[in-house]
Amino acid sequence: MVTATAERSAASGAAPAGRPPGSGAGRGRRMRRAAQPYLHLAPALAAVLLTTVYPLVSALVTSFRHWRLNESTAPGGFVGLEQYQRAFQDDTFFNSVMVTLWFTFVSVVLSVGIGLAMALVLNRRGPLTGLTKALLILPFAVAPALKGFSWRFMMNPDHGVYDKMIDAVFPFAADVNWLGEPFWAQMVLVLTEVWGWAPLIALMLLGGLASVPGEVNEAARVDGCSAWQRFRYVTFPLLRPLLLIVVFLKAVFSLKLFDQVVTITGGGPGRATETLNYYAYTQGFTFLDIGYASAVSWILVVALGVLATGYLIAMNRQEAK
Amino acid sequence: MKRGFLRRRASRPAAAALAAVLLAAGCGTDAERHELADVVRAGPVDDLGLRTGKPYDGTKIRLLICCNTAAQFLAMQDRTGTEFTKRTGIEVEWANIPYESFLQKIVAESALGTGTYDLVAWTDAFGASVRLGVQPLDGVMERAGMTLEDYPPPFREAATAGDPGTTYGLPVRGYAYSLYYRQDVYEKFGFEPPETWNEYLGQLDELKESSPRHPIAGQYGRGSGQNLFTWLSMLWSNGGELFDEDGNVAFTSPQGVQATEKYIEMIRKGYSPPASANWTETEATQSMEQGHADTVLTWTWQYDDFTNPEKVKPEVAENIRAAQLPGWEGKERASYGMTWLMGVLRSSEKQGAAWEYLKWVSNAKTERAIALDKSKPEQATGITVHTSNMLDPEVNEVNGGIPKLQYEALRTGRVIPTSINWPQIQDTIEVAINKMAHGADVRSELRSAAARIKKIEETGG
Repeated sequence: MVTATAERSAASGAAPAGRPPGSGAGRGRRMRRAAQPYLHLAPALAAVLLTTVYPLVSALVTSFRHWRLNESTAPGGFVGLEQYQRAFQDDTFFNSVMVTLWFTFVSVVLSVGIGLAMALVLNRRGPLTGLTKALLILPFAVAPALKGFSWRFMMNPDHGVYDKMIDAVFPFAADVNWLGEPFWAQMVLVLTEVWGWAPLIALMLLGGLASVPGEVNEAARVDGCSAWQRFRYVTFPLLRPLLLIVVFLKAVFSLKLFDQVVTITGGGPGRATETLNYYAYTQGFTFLDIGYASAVSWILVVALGVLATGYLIAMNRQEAK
Repeated sequence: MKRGFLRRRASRPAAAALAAVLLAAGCGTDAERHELADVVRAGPVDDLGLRTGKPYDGTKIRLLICCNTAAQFLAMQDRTGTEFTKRTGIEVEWANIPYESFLQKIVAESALGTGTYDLVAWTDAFGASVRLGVQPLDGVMERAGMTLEDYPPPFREAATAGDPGTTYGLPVRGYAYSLYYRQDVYEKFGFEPPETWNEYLGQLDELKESSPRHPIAGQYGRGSGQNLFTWLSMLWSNGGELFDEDGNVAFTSPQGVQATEKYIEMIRKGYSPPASANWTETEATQSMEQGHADTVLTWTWQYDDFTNPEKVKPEVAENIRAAQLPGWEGKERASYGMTWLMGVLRSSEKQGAAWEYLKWVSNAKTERAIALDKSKPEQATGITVHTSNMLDPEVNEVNGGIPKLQYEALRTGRVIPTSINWPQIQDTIEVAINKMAHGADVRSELRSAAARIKKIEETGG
């Protein structure tokens, strides 16, 4: 039977009565207590270690070694920074960086812009607002591969339903080969991304709009502010921290675009839609150059790490407020 | 103070874990290797060369393969249970991987040797990458009295996987590139199957003026190198080469430029629809199947689909005809002949049973029985890889003469040079062709591709 005093003593880390402090039993208890949080965390840490840390470290080590899978079943010798140098001397690598940056910029601007507009519209109560909000999650719920194949089929200039619809509304676009011209192929990728993300962002921003105090807006209205002025000087500043988080989140996802490239364009026409992630995949799983693919992947990891850090800082600031 | 203590405490296991991760990340070993002849049990065999007495009874093996919707593969898989397993007691599981990811999967499996699979199938161009992980077959073939004599030259070459003198795989499926046309259209226009590319383009020009369909459904898009198939046939039959005898890039030769210009002309002059700049084999053949095109250049195996009324429009099934690819004036035709080979994985622990299956599935008698069986439309196929079957009158009679056509095409057919750099080379040419289809200058794109391939060959990347 443990007394209340003993329990308190154990809880405070002090030696129980009758035993000198610093004795073996007391030290053991303290150590057990210190280890307890780690024991609780151990399963999760083990999972993270196995599924994230190990692959990352393995890829980092491999990025400094020569390893082509069709030459050897085991990694070859260390080559230092050679594979990183190779990346920065390869014009197709730079092409993929530029494609990725362009895609990220356009898709973030359009997704957040359209998402914000949708959120502002849906923030007004109407008869179908609830149903519309529920439907908004659907595009994001569609599997990326399914989304890709569907868009490829629908944008086909020969028999695609979207192509026919666009041709009917804009006859001057009848000759556009959506997936055959570099600019339009990139725009189709952007469209698929915006189609999936803008509604989700709208839902996120609707949560933010709900937290904007109604009386502040009301006061601005009483003071004679127009709808645009109320948005510009009241709503937008209050939404800005959340918008920053949304921008970081969307940028991270845009930077690692892969599925739609594989399923819609295959990187073409030419190399016009080869993103960095697709480039790394091709090097590793088509060309079987695992060492070089690891180096390219780590370049992407660093870029994503910078963005993720920005995202976390923005999140912390938001929580602090 | 206490936080510092905890941090020190925490840092020790973290450092140990990191060290373990680093150690594990940096390790890798080669698997132990045995010769196939050492693990295969010798003994009396039946009429198909299979061991009698079921020495591998109850063994279950796995085959890594693609495209089990292909009629021939469907038929093989179906007969595996009813015939092979019945004879040997060996169960075979076909692990089907979609073509888009198949080549990566087989090379990775061959190289890493996970032991998950016992047999692997591959297409010729990837022989050099795959042979690292498959067993040479010469010893067991010699013991079984088997040779490659009954296969056409391109398939025999592919069986060596780029290592002349050694056989790594046996052909189980193979086909040649050919021209498909609508007989009703050709009759209406008074055309005969063209002998030369110039004659063919003349026909396409006439069709463009008067036919409501696309004169040809081309495929210039990026997708596993499929836009190379026609180009390679045009290049080779014009006397051009991918590489010369010294291994230097040779497709920038006058013959190479001429062949490429003629190939690109088909889309630039509007014979092939503009959308085909982004089409792969799937879209091109679908266009033909849906009755949107008058001709298409594709593999002989497509005859199985084009004549299947459940897959294509009735007017297509009734009127589809095949002919050899055109050639160049005064030059011998040279079609690209692609073959699927099957080999025994080194990492397999059931290599004896795997060899039994390989003998059965590659046997000319098994192939002939499948080619003659038309009881199930989805399994009906005229694709054969043995010369004896390609020339068999009975096989030809029930398959619209496709086996004989294939034999003729393969007599002078070619396969892609086997190189471990082929995936990069293929990607480079594929991108160049795709760019040309979108309007890029043919000569400068060929030169640019040649320079890139030279760099790939020099540096391996």
